[in-house]
Amino acid sequence: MQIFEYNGSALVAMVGKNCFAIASDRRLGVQLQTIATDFQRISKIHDRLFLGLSGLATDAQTLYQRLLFRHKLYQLREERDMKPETFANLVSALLYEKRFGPYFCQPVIAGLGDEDKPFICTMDSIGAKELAKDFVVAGTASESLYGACESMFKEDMEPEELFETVSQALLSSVDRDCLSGWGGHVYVVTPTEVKERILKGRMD
Amino acid sequence: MGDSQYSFSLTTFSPSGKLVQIEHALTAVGSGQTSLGIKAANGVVIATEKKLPSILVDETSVQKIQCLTPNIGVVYSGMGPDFRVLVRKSRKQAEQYHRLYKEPIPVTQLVRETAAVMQEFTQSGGVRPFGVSLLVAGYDDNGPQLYQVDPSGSYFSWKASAMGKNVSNAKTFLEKRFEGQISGKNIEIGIIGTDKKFRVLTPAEIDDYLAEVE
Repeated sequence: MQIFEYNGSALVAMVGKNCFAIASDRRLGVQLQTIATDFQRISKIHDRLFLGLSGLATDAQTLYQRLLFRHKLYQLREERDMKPETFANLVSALLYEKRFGPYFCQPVIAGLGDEDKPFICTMDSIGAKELAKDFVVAGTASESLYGACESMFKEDMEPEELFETVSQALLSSVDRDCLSGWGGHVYVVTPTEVKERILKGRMD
Repeated sequence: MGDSQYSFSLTTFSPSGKLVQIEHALTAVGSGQTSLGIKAANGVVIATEKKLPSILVDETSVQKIQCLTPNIGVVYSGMGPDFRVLVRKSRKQAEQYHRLYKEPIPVTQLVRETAAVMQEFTQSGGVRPFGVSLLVAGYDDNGPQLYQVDPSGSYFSWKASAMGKNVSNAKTFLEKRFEGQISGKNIEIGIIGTDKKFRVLTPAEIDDYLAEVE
């Protein structure tokens, strides 16, 4: 039994023109059995910063709670929100603290930084950061997601086109993975608003 | 007086509500060499008197103004060795912040953490308060900032401040542009501007400025 494939997950984040999109599947399983079809994998840290956690669901929940706690304290102390780059460094440090007994999660971080510049990154379960200018993927469907994103991605997409691209990439990839799917959850974030949409895909 | 009966123990309040040891620490500061700082619209300047016990002391080995980070500097009045310990602790805290967030520590955060250390030493067993007051000068995203931190751990933001001996005179010092008796050898000046890099002026530069003043 592979620990990273116990619950099943699919996550993708993509950069557009002054905006970004972050999307996940909605299945929560225990190996072959599906337990829930409305599982939230993406959480908001603040209005311009989103965190998606793939991998073991219990670790994803605990890690999210710890990170939210750290961010709230930061907000109180420094009277400002954390920049996405700063948050990514914090996540990396926290994961490496558990180097020899890690959280079985792969985070995807997406946010708007200074001057509304979109920032995305992913890292492995012990905090090795991977910054990208176009897209990042994580989860059991990651190999399919790499292929789909690579072929569908274009630079400087507007929010609507970005939504279409991310949705198609996600749905086509999870269809090839038995452990993820049951619809999709897409957030498209621009400097002025956050649009949350649910996708209906193959419900299997 | 009732107070003196409580002056032996740092961690016991006197009947008048004071911690007498901290008052004594402030006295130690008040008899230290003068230091002052001024916040301008585009930077901060801190300066201190550098009176050495004898002319035989190698003045280049004495550095009273120190860098805490590339964009934050500090000067003190009071006990030099206590200052060294605080500088060491503050530098470590600034680096720890940077290791966690890969961002330079904001001035307020560093001041707060340094003040917390100083407060710890007023509420622990077997230690005494630090015998220094610090003037912290920095430039970060919130612009130029000047903070004073006292042995009790309280801190204040100033537009201009002085500490140590002759505090009231020192406060008029820069206004009056004191001439003649000061030179590059017996004062130290630290400066930070919009380039966000804190540096200490060389004696030659100080002499140039003094010549300009004349």
